[in-house]
Amino acid sequence: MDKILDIRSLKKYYGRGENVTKAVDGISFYVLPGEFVGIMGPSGSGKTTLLNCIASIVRPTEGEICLEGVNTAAFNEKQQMEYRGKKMGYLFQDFKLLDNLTGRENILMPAAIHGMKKQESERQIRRLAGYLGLDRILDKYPAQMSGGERQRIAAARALILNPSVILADEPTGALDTKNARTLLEELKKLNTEQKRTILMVTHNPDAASFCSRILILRDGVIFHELRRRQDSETRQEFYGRITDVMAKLGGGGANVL
Amino acid sequence: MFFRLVRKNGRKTRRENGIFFVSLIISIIAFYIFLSLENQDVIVFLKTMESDAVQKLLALLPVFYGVSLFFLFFLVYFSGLYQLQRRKYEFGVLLMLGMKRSRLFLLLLAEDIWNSLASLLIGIPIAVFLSEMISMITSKVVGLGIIGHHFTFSPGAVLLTAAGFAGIKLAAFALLSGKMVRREILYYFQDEGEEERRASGSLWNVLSLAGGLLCLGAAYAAALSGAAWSSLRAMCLTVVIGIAGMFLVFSGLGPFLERVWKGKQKGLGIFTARQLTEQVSLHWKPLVISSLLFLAAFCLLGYGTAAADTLSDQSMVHSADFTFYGEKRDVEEALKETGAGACLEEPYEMRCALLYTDAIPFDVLEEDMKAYVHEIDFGTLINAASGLEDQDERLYLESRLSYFEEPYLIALSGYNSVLEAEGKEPMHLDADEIALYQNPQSIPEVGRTGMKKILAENPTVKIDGDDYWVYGTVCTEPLVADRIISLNNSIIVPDELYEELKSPSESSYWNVMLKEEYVEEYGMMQAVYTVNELLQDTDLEYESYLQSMGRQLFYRVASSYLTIYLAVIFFVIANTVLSVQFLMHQRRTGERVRILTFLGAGYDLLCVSAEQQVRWYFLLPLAAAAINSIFGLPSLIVGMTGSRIGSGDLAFLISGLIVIASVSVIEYVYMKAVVHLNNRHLLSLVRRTEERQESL
Ligand SMILES: Nc1ncnc2c1ncn2[C@@H]1O[C@H](COP(=O)(O)OP(=O)(O)OP(=O)(O)O)[C@@H](O)[C@H]1O
Ligand SMILES: [Mg+2]
Repeated sequence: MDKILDIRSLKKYYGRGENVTKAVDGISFYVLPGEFVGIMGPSGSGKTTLLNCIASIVRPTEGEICLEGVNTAAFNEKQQMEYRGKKMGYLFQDFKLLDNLTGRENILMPAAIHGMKKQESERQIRRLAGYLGLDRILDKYPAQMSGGERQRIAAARALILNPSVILADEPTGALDTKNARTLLEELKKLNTEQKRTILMVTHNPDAASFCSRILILRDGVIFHELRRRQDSETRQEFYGRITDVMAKLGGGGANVL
Repeated sequence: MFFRLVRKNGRKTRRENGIFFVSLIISIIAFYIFLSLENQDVIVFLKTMESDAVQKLLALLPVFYGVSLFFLFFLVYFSGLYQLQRRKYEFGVLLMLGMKRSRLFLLLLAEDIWNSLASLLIGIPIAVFLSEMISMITSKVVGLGIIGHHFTFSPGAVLLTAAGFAGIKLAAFALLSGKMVRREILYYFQDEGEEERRASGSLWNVLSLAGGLLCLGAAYAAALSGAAWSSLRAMCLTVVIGIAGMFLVFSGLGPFLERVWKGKQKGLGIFTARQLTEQVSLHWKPLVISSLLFLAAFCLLGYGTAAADTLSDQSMVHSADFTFYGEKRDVEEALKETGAGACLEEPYEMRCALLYTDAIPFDVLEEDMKAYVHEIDFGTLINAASGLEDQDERLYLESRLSYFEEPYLIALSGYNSVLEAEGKEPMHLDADEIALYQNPQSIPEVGRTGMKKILAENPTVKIDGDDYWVYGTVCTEPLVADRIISLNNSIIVPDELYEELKSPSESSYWNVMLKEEYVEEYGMMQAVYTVNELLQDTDLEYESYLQSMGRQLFYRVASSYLTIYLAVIFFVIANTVLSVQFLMHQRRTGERVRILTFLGAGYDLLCVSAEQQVRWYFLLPLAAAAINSIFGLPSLIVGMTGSRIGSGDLAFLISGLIVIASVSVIEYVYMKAVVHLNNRHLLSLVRRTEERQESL
């Protein structure tokens, strides 16, 4: 299968000279279409930076990010804008909804920015509303929604342009267990039913157990990789393996939970 | 090091906040020009003629000074508030790096003083130059000639301007920085909070909008019908109702505008609409205030330019520079003795006398005066007036013509001398012909047209039983130097008839023109001034043309100066309030822009949205003010002059156009400047993630 995302020796350094922070320090991996990749690691290990590089919110210091064979790291500003939102859907921990727009308008925003036809975007929003159960909240403002509802709106917004890859930075971080579980199940459903490729940063082994593969970062490099055994392993068993590994990371597991 | 930082920051502030800096300079200029009013040629001239009135005006200056300082305080405060907000982060860094608060305070103070000095240094020379220009132009326009012009520089005005500015600057600074410096460091790194949303389209909005429109309608009706002008209480009530209406309309406007703006769905259309609606629904008070300031400025400008426009109406054509009262012998002697005669042409006589008729109460006349009583009958004229079709003309003339029943008589020879002095053809009257004379300033349009129709019918007037034809046009040339006391409702008669009819209460005026060469050499003002000086010690009674003109001129000059000055100040302040409100809102909602960039909105798209926001945000109060002024300006004129303006009133039309043109230019410049400032902010947001990372 063709790689949908191919990351080659990616580096991102902040600052210069003495006080340089090597947030990402040479990471290479690739993602196949339809994969659900989890990214774990202690705080400050470079997870968000990695995701931001892929989303082209941050320009990498070195390395290549190939999405469907095109190196996005070399994009100019205009190409970046075109790429953001359209090829990539981004789910933020704090949702990043526009508080002055209703749910529907928030979802439609990328469509408007990227000039999608009105009929098409209406069709998409109907489809997504059915899929994510948004009907009751479409005309509410974010301030009138619960955390889970906001994240579902954010998810719909990330999906409206049918991006090749969905990036999620601790999407369940601000949600309670029940809402977090619902969201994860929805993401999983997207992954299995619609064959969407998802990259998800998380601290939570339970959330991570929904993934098919987990990259564990430490100090800006990939420190370990876990794969869920196809069919033979249940989610519970996979969860067990994840907590084991996290514990082995020298107590790191405890304070990242 | 400290001073280098001050200078560098000062320069940066000035460059980045161009509009506020320019606003400040404009107000400095307005201030100086206003305060140096005393040195304007026109005022200098008027002082010699109308010293009382001028002194009164000059005594009023401090009041205006105080009032405008009060308004300017807001300008300074608001722009300061914005600048400090903008540089919050920088201050935070300085504090983090260990700069003491007191030192930061000093730094800011030094920067402020430095910038104020810079604006004074730029503003004052421009102000001096402009004030000279205005001085020369006004004296040229009013026909004083510019030969007598002296360059003036008013250190007092500079000092007052500087002191006033220093005062409000310091007050604003103390308020602002006091607030800033006391904050926790954390504050400097936080973005200002997001804003509360109001539920949209509620019943309350509908009610307040409807109520507001009702109030406005009532105020308009009261103002236009003239009811508002009947008493001070009615006026205050109208103004209060009008202002309340504006507040109500704007407080309920948001959701309705949203519906209008939301129509455009392309690009960031919805976002733009929501940003605007939020601005309007949350910050409608500053919008109303600036709209009211705009309205005030419009009215003042309209009134002021109309007044300035009429300055040039002072036609140079006149029949006498001086009019002396008394015997020919006395006049000639006095002129010869003082040497004033050398500057003057030969005097000519203007004679007029009251015609005694039965209409004059009998006991007033002594017995021996009865011989002078004559009979005059305007019957045919009045009949002709009653036959007029136009009701306004008829009513006006029927009442007006009755005044002619005790007319003044004017000798034809005198009137012809007047015409001659003005360079016009003399008039010929047959022995059985008379002409009507009226003061041109006292005839309204209906009188003019009605009279023309009547005279076209060749009416006659009966004097002592004989019929006299009435000359085909009404004579209106001013008879003596003093325009105010021109005779009204008189008849001009051939000299023989005059001798026959005149009563013993004859008065004769000696009109004299200045020699042309003399005027050309010294300028009108100087020439009159010299003659005045020469005649000072004689007990000759006289009036000069300029003196009477000066009286009118004074009111026009004073009103156009004051109104234009206030209008400029109001304009600058309204625009500053709007700009600052807008830019602050944009800063507070910067996070939204960052989210949009995450969704793929580029700098260009964001700029389009921001520009639309600026345009609407400025146009809204401007449009409201424009609509209000459509009602306000005519009512102002109705109230001030008591007459309705004709639509064809050229001066009014021209001044209207001038106002519209200059307002458009000013607003365009302001909007561009705000767009420019905001775009920089957007660019910093778009690149922020990167840049911050690099700079830390
Ligand atoms: N804008 C920035 N400027 C400078 N350094 C930064 C910046 N953003 C992140 N870093 C540094 O880069 C490193 C990686 O940060 P990153 O946010 O990627 O961590 P993370 O794995 O997402 O952590 P967490 O789990 O706490 O979210 C950290 O040491 C951080 O201090
Ligand atoms: Mg993170």
